[in-house]
Amino acid sequence: MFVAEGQQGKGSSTVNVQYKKGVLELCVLAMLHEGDQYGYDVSEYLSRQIDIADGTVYPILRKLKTDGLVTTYLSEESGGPPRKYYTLTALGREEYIRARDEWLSFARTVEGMLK
Amino acid sequence: MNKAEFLERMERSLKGRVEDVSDILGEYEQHFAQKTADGYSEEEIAAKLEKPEVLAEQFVQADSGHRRPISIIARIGVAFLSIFAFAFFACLFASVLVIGAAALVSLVTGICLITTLNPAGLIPPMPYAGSLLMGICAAALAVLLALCTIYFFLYAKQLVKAYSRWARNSIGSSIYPPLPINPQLGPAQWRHFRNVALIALAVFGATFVAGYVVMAASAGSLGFWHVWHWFSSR
Repeated sequence: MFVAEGQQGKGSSTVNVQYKKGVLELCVLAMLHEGDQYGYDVSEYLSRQIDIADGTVYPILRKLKTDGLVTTYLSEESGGPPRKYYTLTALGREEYIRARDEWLSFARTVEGMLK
Repeated sequence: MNKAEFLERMERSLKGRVEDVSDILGEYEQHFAQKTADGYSEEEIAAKLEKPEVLAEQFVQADSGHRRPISIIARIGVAFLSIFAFAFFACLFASVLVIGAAALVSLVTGICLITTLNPAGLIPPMPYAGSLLMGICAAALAVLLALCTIYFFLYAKQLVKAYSRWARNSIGSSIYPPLPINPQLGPAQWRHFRNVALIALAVFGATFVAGYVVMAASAGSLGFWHVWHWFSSR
């Protein structure tokens, strides 16, 4: 159902790609809304839930960071290099709530039409 | 493709196209480290990641559209506009204070009329029935003015927030969603606000008319203030 951009057939439109990207961004925001996450954990969880290549989560995190929706901080783990954690900003929280409500009402409409 | 090869190809595709390449490479290095610890070979990990050139393209896309060139003219313009905006907001908050003061004055007047307190002989003579009705009337006016104060304060606050966001969007490197300029009250809050305002308005109107009728009747004149010499020097 969800395919990373690089794995897509040549015929798929860019609208479609943008659309899926938006959904993945929403999923990442939802995960970070639950609590701060290490980049690897986001990648692991998302690639297990949705069929995407492991590496594609990092560009999404990067985009969210340039958009000002998330920030990063380093946290020392016992016996290892410091890990980079991602956390939602106030704006990210605001945007997540907005996008989530929009998605849910959209999904309800589609569901109603498919019944 | 092993780890070194993956990182090298990635670095080659990213160089000169995005900032802090080492930051991105570090993220993938950590990914390799974590997966290796779980027992995967470097080749397996790289195969599951995606081609480094494809990923690099996604990073470039993620950064594009954010480093908009912002002309110095735009910055000066926004700075200049902000001076006027600040003056305007200061006036707005000052008028909130004025309405608040008016609300307080109405409240004190209402209390004086109802309790027949007469500080410094400021309140002219009148029958108690009229004084009581006009006191309630003044108290209702105080409630209305207090609501006005709250509403204008929320409005001014939201306006400042919306303006700040707009100014930041105009000169900053990223675009945040614009904010609405009207106060953001929940539906329940709005309902309470409206109900209280309507009741206060009804009480204000009713007691004003009733108070006038009572005073006019007891003085036997529509201009009862002349009969009781309210405004003539003694």
